[in-house]
This record gives sequence, structure tokens and C-alpha cells, in this order.
Amino acid sequence: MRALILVVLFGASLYPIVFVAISSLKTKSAFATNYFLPDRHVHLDNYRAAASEVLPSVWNSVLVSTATVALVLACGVPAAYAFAWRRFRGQQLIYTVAICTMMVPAVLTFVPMFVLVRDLGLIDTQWALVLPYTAGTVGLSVFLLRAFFRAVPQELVEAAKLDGSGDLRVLWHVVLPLSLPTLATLVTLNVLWTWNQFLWPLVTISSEEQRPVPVALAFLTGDRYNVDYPQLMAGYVLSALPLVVVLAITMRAFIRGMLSGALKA
Amino acid sequence: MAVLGVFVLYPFGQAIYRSFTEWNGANIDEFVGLANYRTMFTEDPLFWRSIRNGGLLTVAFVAQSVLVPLGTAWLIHHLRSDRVQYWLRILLLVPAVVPTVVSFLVWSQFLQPDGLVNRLVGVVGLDSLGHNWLGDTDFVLFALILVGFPWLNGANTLIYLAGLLTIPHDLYEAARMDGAGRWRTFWSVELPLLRGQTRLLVILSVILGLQNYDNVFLLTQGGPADASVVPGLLLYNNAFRYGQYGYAAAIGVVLFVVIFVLTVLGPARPWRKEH
Repeated sequence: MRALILVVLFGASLYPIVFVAISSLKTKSAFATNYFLPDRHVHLDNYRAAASEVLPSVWNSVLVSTATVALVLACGVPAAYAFAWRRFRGQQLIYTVAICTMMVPAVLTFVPMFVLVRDLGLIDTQWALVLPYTAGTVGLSVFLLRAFFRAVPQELVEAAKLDGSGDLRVLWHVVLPLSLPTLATLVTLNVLWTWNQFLWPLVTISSEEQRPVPVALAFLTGDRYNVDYPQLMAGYVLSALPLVVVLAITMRAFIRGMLSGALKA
Repeated sequence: MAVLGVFVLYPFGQAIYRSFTEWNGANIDEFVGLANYRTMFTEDPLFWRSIRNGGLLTVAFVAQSVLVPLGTAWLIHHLRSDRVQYWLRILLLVPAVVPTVVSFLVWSQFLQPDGLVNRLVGVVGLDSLGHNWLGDTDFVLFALILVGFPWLNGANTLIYLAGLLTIPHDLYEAARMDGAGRWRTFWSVELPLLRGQTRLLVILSVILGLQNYDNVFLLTQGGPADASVVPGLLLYNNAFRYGQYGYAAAIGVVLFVVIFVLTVLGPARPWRKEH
């Protein structure tokens, strides 16, 4: 009985993915007549047509996600290390402020952020995405990283310091290797989050060549009364490919990170 | 840290200040005190409707993102085979490769008059239940809630699984000795020990749910006849359609206050346990 529930649950969750994959290989007429099942003829033209429209935006999104993750780690890792293993003046205050930025809801800052980015002359550049994304996720990242750096046994850190290692060496050789599952979890969550942003790039990116994936896909529908669904579906499949790669690489560490309580209450 | 300051704290301060101005983002810029708030509460009929819709969708969203993962995690946790558990954990993450915009667009197809939902209803012989889901003021909210069925959330399920894994074996033994069945063990042992996870997920989904309008934007644009308008969409439209930046900021402030009251001042304070 319980197994049956699980089968139905997973089946129903995964069916839309299968549906998109099958439909992307049909012709438009096959999609109309044979809605649910795969068609006998594999029709690859959809991909050829969709690729030229979707791939440039996929590339934009790859750039934005990579830059955001790199910036978040470059700022977040040293900051989290300092919060975890160093003592300095005003530490508590700075940490509290950094954590409080997590509580500022995006919807509140949406409009002023737009005006700020516009006044900085960043509209229609990838910086209009990268900088706010970084600011939006670095607080949470520092919070999670600090908790995990703290979990590294104190004796290990002290022993390394006694051996004459500086902070950088301790961080690089002791703390980071032990935190790899957390880092993978963090990177994966960050990539998913940046990849899925829709409304912000919709207002800050105006030219077609600069669009990230979600915006490009939303504009793909074209003619509302004569939508070429199979071609759309091919575009959807292409748009998901980089996420497939990222998740395939980080999956095991991600699951381990989550199960060990990376996001503990 | 400088990035944080410029792109979080400055817009935050601006948002609050601007909510007291009439502002189009450029040349019109005048301090008007509480006028935006007065308009919102007394004159804008869409505001209260958006609050009601947003509240309803948020309640549904919280239920979806807490109850389904809880049940799924419980089912997986009590499977005997470790290998099956391992594979199910991986399958949990597979839907994450689908960009959210794609899932909304696909569901928008499903909910069309000739889409999957109506075809399924037809297959089981209940044609009369078919609807133009997104085009009917009576059904549009229900359709929006239906999106993503069966709402399996991989990350949330993993959070619950992590919690279940920390429950010591002795407790299960003790419950069994006391003659507690599965159901009773769930209510008196597992659920109380998962309180932390539940609280975290409730808070996160309240915050996400109240702000969310990607789904409404992509599926209905707030229609038909403004039947599915939510606060976020109202804010977006006022700012980017009508150029009423000040009024939009005021909507943002109200939403922020609601979220703040529900999460920070409410009974659940997730970060308190950190120290």
C-alpha cells in the first residue's frame, strides 16, 4: 500500500518531465492527434529550430550563474571563516547585520533596486543580474557556511595553527576539505536560484541578446493562437540541460549535505 | 559586504522612504505622507482582493510544501530496502532540473481547454468536469493551486528525511514496546521530534508564498477580470505598467510588515535556537 502511494506520487511528479521530452520529438500534427504517448517517428527538427532561439539565452544564464556563485563564494567563504574562527571588534554587530539582510523580502526592494540599477547605468547588462543576485544570497551563504565551519573540530584548527599555518592555509587545507558537501549544497542551491529568477531579469534586461533562459522561454510562445508546442517543448529540454549537468555532478554531495542537516532549524 | 550594503540596505531604506512619496522614478517626486497607504486601504478595490487571493494561495502553498514532503519523507524513511531509499532520494532531485518557469509554462499548457487536465478528465468519463480553468473567474484560483500537482518538493523532503534520520533507534524500540502502532508512533514520537524542520519549512514557505507571483504572472496575468490578482502582481503592475513607483513601494512595505509580523514576531523564531 505504502509502496503504491510512493509509485503514484513519483510517477505523477515525473510524468510532466517525460511528457515534455516525448512531445519535443513529435511533429505538430502528431502532438494534436496523439497527446499522451510517444510518436513512432522521431522528429528532431524541433530541436534545430529551438536551438537557435534558446541556446544564446542558456549561455547568458550560465555566465550569470557562474559569476554569481564565484562572487558569493569569494565573499562568503572568507567572511564565514572570520566569523567562525576569528575574533574581531564589532563582530557580533556585523554578523547580525549580515544575517538581517536575509530577512529583507525581495518584493520590498524590487522597485528601489530597479531604480538603483537603472541609475547606475547597468540596465541591459549582465551586471544588473549578477550584483543583486550576489547581494541576495550572500547573507544566507555566510550563515550556512559559518555554521559548518564551526562544526569542524576545534582541535584540528588549533593544531594546524600551532604548526604555524596562517588563516589562509587553515581555511584551504583543513576547513574547506571538510566542508565539501556543504559547499556543494550551497553551490547547487545558488545555481538553481539564479537560474530560476524570472521577474527581475524581465524588467532589467530589455534586449533579446541579453536575456537569460526564463525570460527567453516566456517570450518563446510567440503567436498565441497557433502555438507550436513540440518546438516549445524542445526549447524547454534544452534550457534544462545545464541544470542536469550541475545536478549530476553535485547530486551525491548535495544529498549528503542536505541529509546531514545543512539546513537545520 | 559593500555589495550587501549597496544592494540590500540602500534599497531597503529607499523602499520605506519612497512609500511616502508620489514618485514615477524620475521627474515627479513629491512627499505625500500617508496618502499612498490611504489610497491602498480605502480606494483601491484590487488591494483587498489581492490580499485575499494571496492569503489563500499562501495557505495552500504552505500546506503543499510542508505536508506532502512530510508524508513522502515518512514513506521513504520506513521503506525496508536501503537501495530503494537511495534511488528515491535521487529521483526526488530530478524535478529540480526543470526551470520553474518551464514548469509553469507546461502547466499553463496542461490547463488549456484542450490540455492535459481536461483530457484526463475526459478519459475517465467525467467530461462535465472539464473547464477552461484559467479563463473562468470561479476556477482560476483553484487552477493556480493545482499547478505542480502532486507538489513533491525534493529539497523539503530531504530536510524532513534528515530529521527522521536523527531519531534514535531506541525511541522506536521504546514506542514498539509500549504497543504503539505506526500511526501512534508518528504522532507521539516522530512529529514532535520534527518540530524544528516543520517550523523552518512553514516560515520559509510563508515568506516565499506571500511574495510569489511568478505563477500568476505567467499563467493568468492576474486575470480573468482581475480574479487572480495577488499583492506582488499589483506591485509589479503599479511600478512597471503605470509608473506609480511610490504606490508600488507602499504595497511592498505592507507586504513586508505582514511577513515580518508572521515570521519574526510570530510564535516561530527559527534563528533563536542557533546559540
